[in-house]
Amino acid sequence: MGGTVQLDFKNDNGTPVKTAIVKAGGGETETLPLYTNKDTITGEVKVANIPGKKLEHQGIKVQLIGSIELATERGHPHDFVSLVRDLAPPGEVTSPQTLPFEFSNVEMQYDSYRGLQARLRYCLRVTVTRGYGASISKDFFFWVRNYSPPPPPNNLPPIKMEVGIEDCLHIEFEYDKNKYHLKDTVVGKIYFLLVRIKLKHMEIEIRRRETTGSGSAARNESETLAKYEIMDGAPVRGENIPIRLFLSPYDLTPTYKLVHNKYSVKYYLNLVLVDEEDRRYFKQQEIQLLRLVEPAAAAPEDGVPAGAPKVAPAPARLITPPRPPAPQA
Amino acid sequence: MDDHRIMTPQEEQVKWLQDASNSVKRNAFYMKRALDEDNLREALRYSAAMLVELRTSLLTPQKYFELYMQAFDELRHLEAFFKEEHSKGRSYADLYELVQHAGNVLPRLYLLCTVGSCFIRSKEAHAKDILKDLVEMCKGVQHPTRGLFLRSYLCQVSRGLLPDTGSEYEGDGGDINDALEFLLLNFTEMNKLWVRMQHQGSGKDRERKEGERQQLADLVGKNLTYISQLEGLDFKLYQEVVQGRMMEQVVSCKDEIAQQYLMQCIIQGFPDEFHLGTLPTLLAALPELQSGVKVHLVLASLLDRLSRFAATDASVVDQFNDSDAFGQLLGAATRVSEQHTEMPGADIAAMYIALANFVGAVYPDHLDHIDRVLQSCHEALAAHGDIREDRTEKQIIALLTLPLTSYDPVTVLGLSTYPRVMSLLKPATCKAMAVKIVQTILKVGTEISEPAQVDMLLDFIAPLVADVHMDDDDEEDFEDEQALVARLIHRLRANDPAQHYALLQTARERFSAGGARRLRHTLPPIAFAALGIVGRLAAAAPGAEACAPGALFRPSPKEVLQFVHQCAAQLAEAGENAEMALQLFLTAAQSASEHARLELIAYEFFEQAFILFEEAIPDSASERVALASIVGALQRCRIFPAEPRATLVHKATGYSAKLLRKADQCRAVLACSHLYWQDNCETTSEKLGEGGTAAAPKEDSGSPPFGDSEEDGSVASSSQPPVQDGEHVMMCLKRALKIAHAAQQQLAVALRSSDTLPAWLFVEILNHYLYYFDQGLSSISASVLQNLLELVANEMAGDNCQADAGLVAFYNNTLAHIAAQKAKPEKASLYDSLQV
Repeated sequence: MGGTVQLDFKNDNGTPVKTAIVKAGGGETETLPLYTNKDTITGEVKVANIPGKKLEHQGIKVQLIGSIELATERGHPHDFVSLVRDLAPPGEVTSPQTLPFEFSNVEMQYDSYRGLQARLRYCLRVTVTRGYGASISKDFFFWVRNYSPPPPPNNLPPIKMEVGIEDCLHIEFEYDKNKYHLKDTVVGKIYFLLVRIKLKHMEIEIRRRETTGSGSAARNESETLAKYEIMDGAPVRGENIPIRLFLSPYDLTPTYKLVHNKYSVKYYLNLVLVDEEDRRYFKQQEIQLLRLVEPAAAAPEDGVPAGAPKVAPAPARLITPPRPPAPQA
Repeated sequence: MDDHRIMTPQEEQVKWLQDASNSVKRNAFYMKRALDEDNLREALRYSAAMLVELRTSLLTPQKYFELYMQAFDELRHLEAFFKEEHSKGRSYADLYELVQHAGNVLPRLYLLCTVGSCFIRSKEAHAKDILKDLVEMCKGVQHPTRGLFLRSYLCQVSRGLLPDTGSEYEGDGGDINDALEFLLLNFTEMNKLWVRMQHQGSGKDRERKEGERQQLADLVGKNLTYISQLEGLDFKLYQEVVQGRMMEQVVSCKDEIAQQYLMQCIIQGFPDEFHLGTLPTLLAALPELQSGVKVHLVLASLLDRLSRFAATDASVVDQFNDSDAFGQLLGAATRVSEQHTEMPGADIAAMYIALANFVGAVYPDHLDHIDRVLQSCHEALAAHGDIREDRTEKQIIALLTLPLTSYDPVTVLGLSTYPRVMSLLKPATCKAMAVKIVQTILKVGTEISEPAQVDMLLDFIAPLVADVHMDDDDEEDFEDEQALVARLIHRLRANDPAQHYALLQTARERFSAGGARRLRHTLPPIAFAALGIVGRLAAAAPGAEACAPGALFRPSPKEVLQFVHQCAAQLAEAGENAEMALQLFLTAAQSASEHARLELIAYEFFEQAFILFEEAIPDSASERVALASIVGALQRCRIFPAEPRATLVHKATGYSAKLLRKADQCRAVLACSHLYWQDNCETTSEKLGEGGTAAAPKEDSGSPPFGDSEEDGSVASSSQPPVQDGEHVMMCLKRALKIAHAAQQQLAVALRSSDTLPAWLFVEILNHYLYYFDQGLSSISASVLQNLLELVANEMAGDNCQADAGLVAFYNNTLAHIAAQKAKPEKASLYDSLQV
């Protein structure tokens, strides 16, 4: 088509651009440049003609586009950000050219997201404008993650609830917080107050619910991202079962509330009890997920000076705080 | 392929195990390959896949154990790899988290325990934190079998990693309290799982479940073993922490199997001092146990331990006394029997047996303790109602037998509680008990030396002494029992002959009620014992014992002999015992003659014996034996003057002619020949004779110790010189030859001339000839003997005789005897002319 377009993300100061490994569907992963809100995105666009042929154009530009695409409106993404930099006036390319660009302090308040029915993408689109539909245009995707400050620790009420089926099963469960960060650990406990059914096992699921649209047009779609068995066998009354679920192995995102009025993403912990006849009893509780700033790789962790021997994780993280015995049902 | 065949449960088990085992092997292979490739993630994935096989519910505990062991071995590879990873800089904290990403709880926890143990060993974490975490996280497995094995694994891998006193993990890693807490928690959880096995699934295969549970018992008990092995476990900790926690779990689990097993574990697992120091708590738990628990076994092993403890050191018994151990134990037994009204009587009795054993071992001189045990047992059993079961009675017998062996039986029988407990038995069982008592006394070898004791003892064994009911028992048993009683009579013994005599009188009085069947067993030993007294009385210097003040009135030998006479007469009257009575008379006669030297009484005994011979001996075989005895006895009696002796000898010789069979006659006559020929007094009889004469002057001096007069025949006479009447001897010998010839002819008439009997007789006659020849009987010249020798040689030449090996040997020995005599220088002149 007369020429090739290439784009390299490059930091001005020469440091390498951070990357994120992102699931691409079908078990594949891809590695994308990673940015966050207010970042300045710099780089170079390389335009090359086919050797021996000149490439005429009516101008070269690079656009930064953030778009939301819902399954219901496929093919009509909604751009919520669109910035443009002109790289070259109309002319011709007779030998490969390198054109630097910069978008500074870009407003990217939304995280990149790939869900079941909603997608939020960022890309740099390089266009070499030519007449008669012969324009060369290529998208270069990148990924955006935003970070929250750690929530104040005293503002993290535990989730506690007593549920049951009358005269069959009474349990009380407890998760230590209602907000978790993505590398966090859910610690909790299940108290069996009454057990009259023959349980086989119990597991915790992490479920994600996307909501698109609103009002009567609202659409919900859920998927189970994790299944984690926490009990094998049948407990008797008075037993308590510890829960410790590490969130890091799972492909989770923060909880998103009404992203650009288009979609929401919520997370739930679903406690599932299965009896010997494979009947399932469950209770779903919403948890807030948030993404904390990841500690820089080289930075000392938790105030422990680098080089000092790593000690065991603080007991508070490992071990469920003691609790008086559950009241009898 | 007969895939449709239905597999037996065993085959199914084998197949399931095989499948699971193959999968473990396969995944272990991939795991190890991943380890070789340094791929931690893959290794964890495959190890989890391997461990997933342990989630099976199909296998019996035994088969599950095999699978578990297989996985256990494979996990060692993983452990080694973890160490390697760690040396490459990966922190155990990371690994500890990483393995928890596994989705299934059981594999996750096995991996967690594995990493956890490495984590502790590296000391990067405090042992107490990891242990506490592991023991808590393992709650995730609530399935009994799987949970038990998982926790057993935890117990296994954490062994040696506990912050025990003196351990390298003590200090920051915690202390003995943390170690204890860990083991106690694990124990509690395991016990809960173990008990739960009983209640899950259907109720119908209870037996199978109990069997399976028994197989798993040691997994639970291991925790207690580990606790007991902790260096830091001292008495204070045991008393204040460990015991309370263990007992609480044991009691509250309300499960028979668990209680039974764990109580034994606790008793066996912890030191004696601990038990002694915490006895009240330990014993308080006993009545709380489920009714199905065999408390007596529990108590028995505790008592066993305590008594072995007491045996180690004398000061221990003082400790026992300080804490009133005995009182506590007895109290516990009482409370148990009160609490468990449905406890079988046999078990109650067994409990008291254990106590009695304990008392016997620890307090060998506290008979009062035995008394209290028996009393308490009596109360418990009397309140119990149904105790007349065989099993119960057996135990009661055992209980009653016990103190007999460890204490003086007679004193024990004297306890007031003893007959009370015994009265609980059925009459038939009383008899068994009586046998036991007698056996024990015989075994221990107690002497019963008080008449009152004899009465008491005979009260106890009353079922053996006389018929209680019309019991229709086994003849053989009866014989055995009576033989025991007979032996018992020899245990009635006292140093003082008078006392001894009194014992026998008491016994005889009681035995008289026993009927003919028993008398023939009981009277002879009494009579013989009495004869023993006669011997002792006669041997003692008269008058020497008379000075013992307060001693019983001393019986005269005559009195005792009269007693023997009564016994024998009673035996004779009782019928069917004539031979026995006859023997008794003869022995008594001999004793009267040779010990007491009372001629009249000796004559009376012979007279009675002869009367019995004439009137009561039932058959010719018995006659022959009886006659031989008469002759033997008479021959040895030297008390008789010529006239009475001649009467007796004449009578005996007369009997010999009246025997039916010629051979018997022949032998009887040969025997009778000796009545006319007494040995020159050997040294012993010489002494006796001297003793007799020595005593005579004292009696003559006007102080006869027993006040008997001459007419009673109670004054000892001296021995007569030996009778040596060669003429009569020859008559007998010739008569014997004649009878032998007659026997030969009689056999010929009966066409049985090949019978070697006459030859036997001839050889016997030859022997008698040789005897008298040797004794120097003048009527037997060498030529007479030579003739006889030739006669016998002729007889012996017959083929029939040569075929009788016994006879040939007899004959050859006889000839050898002659040759030997010839070889002796002092006999040479006598035998010189004899030609063999």
